[in-house]
Amino acid sequence: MPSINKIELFKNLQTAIELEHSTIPPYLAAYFTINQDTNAFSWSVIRSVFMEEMLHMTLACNVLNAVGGHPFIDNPTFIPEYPTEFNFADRKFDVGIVKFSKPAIEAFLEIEKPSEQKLRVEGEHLKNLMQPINLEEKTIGEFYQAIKDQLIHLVEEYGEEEVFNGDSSIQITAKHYYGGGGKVIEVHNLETALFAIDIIVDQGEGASGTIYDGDETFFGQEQEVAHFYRFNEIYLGQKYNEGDHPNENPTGEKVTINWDAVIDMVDNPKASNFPEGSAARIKADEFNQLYSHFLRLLHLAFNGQSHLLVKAIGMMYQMKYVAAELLNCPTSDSSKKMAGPPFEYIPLAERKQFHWLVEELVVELK
Amino acid sequence: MSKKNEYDVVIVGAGISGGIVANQLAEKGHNVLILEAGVKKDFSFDTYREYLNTYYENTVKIPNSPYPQNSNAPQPLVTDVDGIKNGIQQFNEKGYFKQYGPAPFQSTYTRAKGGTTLHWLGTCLRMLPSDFKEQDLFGIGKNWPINYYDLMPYYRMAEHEIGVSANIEEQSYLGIAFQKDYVFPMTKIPQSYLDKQLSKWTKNAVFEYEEETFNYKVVSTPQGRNSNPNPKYNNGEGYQPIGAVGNPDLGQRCEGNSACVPICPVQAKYNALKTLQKAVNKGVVIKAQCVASEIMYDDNTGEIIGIKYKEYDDFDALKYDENCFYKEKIVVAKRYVLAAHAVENAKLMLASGFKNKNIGQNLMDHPVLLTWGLAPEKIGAFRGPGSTSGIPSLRDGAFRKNRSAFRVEIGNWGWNWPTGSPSADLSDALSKQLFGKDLRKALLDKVQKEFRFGFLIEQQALSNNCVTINEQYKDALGNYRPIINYNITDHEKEGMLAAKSFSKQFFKTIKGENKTKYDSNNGGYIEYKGESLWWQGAGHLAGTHIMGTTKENSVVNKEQRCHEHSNLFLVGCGNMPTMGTSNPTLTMAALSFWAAENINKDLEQLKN
Repeated sequence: MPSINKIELFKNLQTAIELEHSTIPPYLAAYFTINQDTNAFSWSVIRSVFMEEMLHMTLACNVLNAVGGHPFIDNPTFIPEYPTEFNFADRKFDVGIVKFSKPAIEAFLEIEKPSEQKLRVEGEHLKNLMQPINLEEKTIGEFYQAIKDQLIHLVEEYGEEEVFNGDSSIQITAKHYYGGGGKVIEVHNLETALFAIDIIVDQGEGASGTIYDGDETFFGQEQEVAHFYRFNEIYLGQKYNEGDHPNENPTGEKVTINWDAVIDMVDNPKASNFPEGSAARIKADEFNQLYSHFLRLLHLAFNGQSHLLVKAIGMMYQMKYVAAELLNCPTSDSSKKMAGPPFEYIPLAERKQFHWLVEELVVELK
Repeated sequence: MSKKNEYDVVIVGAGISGGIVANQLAEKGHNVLILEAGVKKDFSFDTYREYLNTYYENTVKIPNSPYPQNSNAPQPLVTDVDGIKNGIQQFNEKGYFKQYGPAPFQSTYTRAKGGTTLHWLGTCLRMLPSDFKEQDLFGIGKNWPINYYDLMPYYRMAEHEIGVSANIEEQSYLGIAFQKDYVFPMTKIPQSYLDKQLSKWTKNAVFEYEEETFNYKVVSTPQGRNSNPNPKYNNGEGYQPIGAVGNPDLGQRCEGNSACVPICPVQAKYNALKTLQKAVNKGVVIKAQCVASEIMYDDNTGEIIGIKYKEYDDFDALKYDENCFYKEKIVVAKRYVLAAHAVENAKLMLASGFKNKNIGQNLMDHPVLLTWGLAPEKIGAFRGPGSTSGIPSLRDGAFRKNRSAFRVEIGNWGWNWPTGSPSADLSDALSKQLFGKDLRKALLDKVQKEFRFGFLIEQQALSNNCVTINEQYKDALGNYRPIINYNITDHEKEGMLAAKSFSKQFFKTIKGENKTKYDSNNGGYIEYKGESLWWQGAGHLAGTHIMGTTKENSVVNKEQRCHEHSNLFLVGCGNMPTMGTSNPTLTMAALSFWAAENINKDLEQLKN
């Protein structure tokens, strides 16, 4: 029996993982530059969105692992270089590491914008199935729909067992993952794979033509509006009411957005832009080291050592601390702008040991 | 739905007991009203953050520091307690309680939605089987009319509701039994580095006292704090941790914010708002800013015919003129439940003219003997929950005939409780003229080695320890202020001596430095058999309406129904005839589930 060619499926799922991850540094930058006291609403919204992106990334890894693929996380192309261009069917736009601001929220709205077309077109999809999905011709929602179609087609042709032949013991389960927008799904067959993908799409764009993210259906959680609409609530300074229509403005209670209570971070900080020996440079280098080590830990966790995911959480707290320090460092002696987390990749060979580094990574450095 | 002002059940108090009873009864389809004395606050996370901000801004971080004082429903504060002058314990006029001593009563509670679980530490220990029959076993204290095995299924319900994290294999000691194959909803909260080091340094260590030798062990403490769900829980169904009310993703796991007492910033720690939210979703009505002032009853039958309460509009009653600052209303129901905490329940019954002489008597707390010192090396103080382990080994034994048992609570927050560190350490260093690098080094060296013990000493019920009322002492709304008479006995003092000795031996075993030094001017300081002792309140208030077999020896029967008022149930620690050495919330929650069952049976019978 010929083995199934899953290369394109693997490639698309890898793209999905990178896609979900790529939104996180920009969301974190907005999040780190405001605080819970002066911008409680926005802080909560952004936090809940990036927590869900992490869930999405995890779900995508689970799907990839379930079909026998391997997430490739610790690699130089995993983090985009910011500002990066998002290239979708209907629109092209830049997303950068920038402070909380109207332009930042506009970019977030662009990322999460629901596809105009929710209906599946017979035939046309099947034609393109075994070609790599070029995101340039799709919205995020459509991209995932095409992955779902690929899976369905493969199962129809080769049977569920052949398609879902990954090692089930390395799936990330609710034991390893929490606090991020819902329960993580262990993927082991078509139904769970499609379910996992549905969660990604519905939390982002909204559950079929509504402003809600389907969490009530999926998780029995209180009704929450999908990411796009949450960002809209920030942008317009008003919450949605139950029964509001996706194409109309929110009619719920007004919220105060303190656009001024924001740390004035320089746009798209890069470590090399800060003077050698300066506090900004030292901390920026540390942040990049930290983030790269973190990606390595995620890589190990998503490739068989699921118990390491909990240790990654400790590193996330560390990221928060180092970012806070960075945001307190002027970019240069004469500048009023503050440095910020650059999220730049440092290759394994150049990584150093730090006091916050977990044992498993220290061992690898030796 | 309910007719105007008529409910199946009216509950006084929106704390954990009231919340559990309300939630259980609403589940069965009954109409429930809760009257809460505290201010109206919704369950949104934004509102909870107001408490956080109050806490951050308060320079004195006492347990009630996030929860503002409200003259309409005043709360006792730890800072109300006075010190000793010329060897005599002082009792000042400030504060909600009127205390006559001779010993200061140092525990407090919170009058707000969520009650004292807002500021509790979260320790969830079951009582020991012996604790239920101390009179029979040791000739001291009282017997409960029920035993540990009766309470077992309700303990499981309480552990489910609160969400208790513990590993079952570590928790079966001193007779504590569990149902076959039972596991706790979540696996244990990671033990602190301090716990692990102390464990290592005391391997095979023993405690020698009065010709007896005791083995002991550092054991992880079961707690109501979110941890990893145990997939084996509930026959493999698992458990979903409940995060913050109004923000369910937050608080899914303990983050080690180290602020548990007085407030968890993410609500990983259980608080009764979580239960109240569920109750409200089932249709339970909570009316806040309603202070129950009198329970009206028929003189002949004892039947409760209504609860009078004072509903206030504004936060500060003192702003109003004399004429009208509250509206007096009456609510009627088929069954009534008092869940306002031990002292308030007793106070309300006394204010209503209840005749049972046990009401208000047998007030108990856990006097906590604090000792403190330095570990031989840095142990990472001030990280994680207030306490993640303890030493339960001395909770039981024949010695209880002669002295109180105690539980050892290991404190992760340095000397914060006994001395006010790290601020106290800073003041100390500054007085030594240290600054800059020297200051930082001195602080780091010291603070990182600090740990303390809290010995929870069992206290017995005594009729002289009581809550009473008097016309002279009323609050702004004209409700009574509790008058407290309180003391500890030699039995407890002997327990404290043993605790102090344990501490001494422990510090020697681990080669640490015992830095315990008691200030004779501090409230709670005493001298006994040549030893100086100093104890504080644990925040546990119990016994004021104990459970028993007759109306002569108790206020409620084992159904938690008042002997003399058959349509009135009492819940809370006030029902407990003994405290044992465990923090009482878990036991109280278990009893509340049982009470709810009994009330439901009543209501079902009424329907037929």
